[in-house]
Amino acid sequence: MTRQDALDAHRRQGLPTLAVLPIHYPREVLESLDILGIELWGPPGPLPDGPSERIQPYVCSLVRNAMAFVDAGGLDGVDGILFPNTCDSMMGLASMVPDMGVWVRPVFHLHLPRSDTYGDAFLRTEVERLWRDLAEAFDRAPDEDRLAEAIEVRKRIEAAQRQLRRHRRELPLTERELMELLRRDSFVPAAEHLAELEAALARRGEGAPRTGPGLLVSGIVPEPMALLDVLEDAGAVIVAEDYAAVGRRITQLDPGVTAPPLELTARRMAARPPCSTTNTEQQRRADQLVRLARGSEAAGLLVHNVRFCEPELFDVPALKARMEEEGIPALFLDTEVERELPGAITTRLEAFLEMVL
Amino acid sequence: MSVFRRAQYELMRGLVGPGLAKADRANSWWRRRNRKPRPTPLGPAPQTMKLLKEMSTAHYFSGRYADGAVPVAWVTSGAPIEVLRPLGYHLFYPENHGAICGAGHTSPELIATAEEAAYSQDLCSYARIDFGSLLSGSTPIGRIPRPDLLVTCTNICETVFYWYRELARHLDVPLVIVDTPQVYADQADPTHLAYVQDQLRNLADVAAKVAERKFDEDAFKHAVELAQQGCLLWRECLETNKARPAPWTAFDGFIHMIPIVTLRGSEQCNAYYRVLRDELRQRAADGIGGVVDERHRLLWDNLPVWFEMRGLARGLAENGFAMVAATYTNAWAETADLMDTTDPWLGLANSYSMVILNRGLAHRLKLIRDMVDEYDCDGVLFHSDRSCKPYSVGQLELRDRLAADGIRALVLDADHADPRAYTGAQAEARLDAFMETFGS
Repeated sequence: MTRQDALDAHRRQGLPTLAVLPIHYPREVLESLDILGIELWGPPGPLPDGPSERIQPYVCSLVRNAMAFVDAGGLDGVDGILFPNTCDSMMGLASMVPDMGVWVRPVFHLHLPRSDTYGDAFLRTEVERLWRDLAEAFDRAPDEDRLAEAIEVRKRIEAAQRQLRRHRRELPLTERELMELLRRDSFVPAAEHLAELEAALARRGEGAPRTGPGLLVSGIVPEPMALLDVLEDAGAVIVAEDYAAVGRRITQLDPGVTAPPLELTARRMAARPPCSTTNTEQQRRADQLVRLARGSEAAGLLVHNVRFCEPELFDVPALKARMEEEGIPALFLDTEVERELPGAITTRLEAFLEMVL
Repeated sequence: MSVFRRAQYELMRGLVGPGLAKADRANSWWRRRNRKPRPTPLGPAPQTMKLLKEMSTAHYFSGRYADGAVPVAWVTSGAPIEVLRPLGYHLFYPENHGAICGAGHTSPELIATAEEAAYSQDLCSYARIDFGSLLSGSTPIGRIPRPDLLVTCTNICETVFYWYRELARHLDVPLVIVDTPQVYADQADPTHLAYVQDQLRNLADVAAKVAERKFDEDAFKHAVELAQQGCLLWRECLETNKARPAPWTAFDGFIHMIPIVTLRGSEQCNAYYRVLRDELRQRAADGIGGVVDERHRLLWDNLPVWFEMRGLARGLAENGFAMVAATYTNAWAETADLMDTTDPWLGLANSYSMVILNRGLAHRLKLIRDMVDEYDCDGVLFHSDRSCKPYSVGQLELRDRLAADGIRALVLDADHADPRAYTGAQAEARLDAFMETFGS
């Protein structure tokens, strides 16, 4: 199922669709209202006319490509857009798209709190606002029982995602195949996605186990995926992963915790792993990476950043210092999501892999 | 806090600092006494500049002795400092320090230090200067007081949130984040304002605890009243430029905004702007312009290019262009009316949420159109600032919208404090071409 297939199938049922800009949002809220969220991360792959000329080249390619995609009519098939307050550039885009007449359908905003003190209560309010606004805009009935059901499906998806990563060495999938499967959560309806995750898990033990040295990867988004091919070719296995687009969205809240659905949704969001774009101190993120590296026996850390991504770049000095303290070899790379992996990056990556593997 | 340090601080602030500024002025006059004045296309600088130098010198000089004497907070330029005023904090502005380093051409060395320590070239240059200074201990202002508290407010950008988070890691002092949700509509959402108010009260609690003082609501209210008066006085100063010729330029304004940023909420700030306003009004009445031969009037959008400000001011003035207004200087006047002194917590939450960078592009476009109209501008210069994404994203669109209205606009690529992002020859060529379109 491609993005377009997912979109078409949902629309044929007469159900609403929503484009969602990165990174953090409560997908269960959309699912409880039968809204299909199609995330817009670039999109992956080069655009025919390149990134938008309407935004300066010193802005990250996720934002410039998203603008180009909207301009090219790429979102003509969806009924609305959701913008979380991920970063300055994303908030600029959140204003450009409706204010400059590019888009006339409903626009929704989600403000993820930066304040530690009042953040939890505020997040609960924001989640409820989003839930009610979406319901009203698309004529859906907000129903707490439906939200509770959607949360349960999400928990099963997250459990399957964790299992896949945990049993990575026993899966007959390339790094690219596994990452593409995990990334499909950004557009495939929940039930179908759960089925495909479980199908992949059922293949555990097929073929020979992957015995190569393990690596922890972090960053915003795994594109360009050619990077994964380089890792694969070098014999490395990604045994732990902390991409904002993937691993950092899997809540760490104990699945047994119970609460009213809206509160639980907010608590599940607040308990996502530390992320540079949310109210997380760098030390907590560094702790998380050390924990992931130790727990998975990774031989090294690869931080794969999108160029010009300020939140991630501000974390680099703290992460570098901490990895040095811990004796975990780390490589920090900046890439553009839509481009092929440049030769210089490949060379640096190969040299790093030779050193750690 | 030691009594000796406190006495030393007060002495430096009240006597030695201003005295040094006066001595510096006398020295400067002595060195220039026989120098023939060079012909300049710029009008005479406002006399109030001398007072500004005294105030700035006293502020930065006393800052060297502030830690251990009074509580010290490092704050962002958009932080609600009225909350800190009644607690007697000495305030240090890393952004302001970045501007000083940029204007004084000391930024490259500090930036290089930060970049060696893994702060990317793609981060805000103010932040890089700050980290460079923190890591090297080097600063053109002598010494930066160590903070007891960090206060950041997201109303100007998310960058300051990441930046101060990193400062807290280095300095190991409490950090208070005042998070102001972006306002995309004409008014801030009431639930968002309630959230901001809660955080302001939390700031008061934390700041009082750090300062070991009781928070005085009446003194706070008075600080808000003073801040509102100060912002209104600053607006009156800016509005003198509706006269032809404009009595000063926006480039002068970038310098004279120091008190409204750093001393807002104090009687000293307001006294300064009364003097400046009166002088500017007199200049307007006397027909003294910030540019000698003002033929065209421009509006500036975004932060200044601190390291090239003089060159830009001069280059424009030589061709009869006066930069009469700026959305940036206007930011400290724009929301003054929202500071409701009868309900200061709500008033602050509202005025700090509604600042230009916390709002959408539709507001910005309207503001620019209104300012072009009110100040009778012939064109707009957009500084596309590599270091300031919230101010820069959308500028190309704004330029095109203005062009559709028949308003000429140019986008100039630069940075507020990193000279490497600016190519003088290219900027000059683009400016020349832009100015030529206006004819003589």
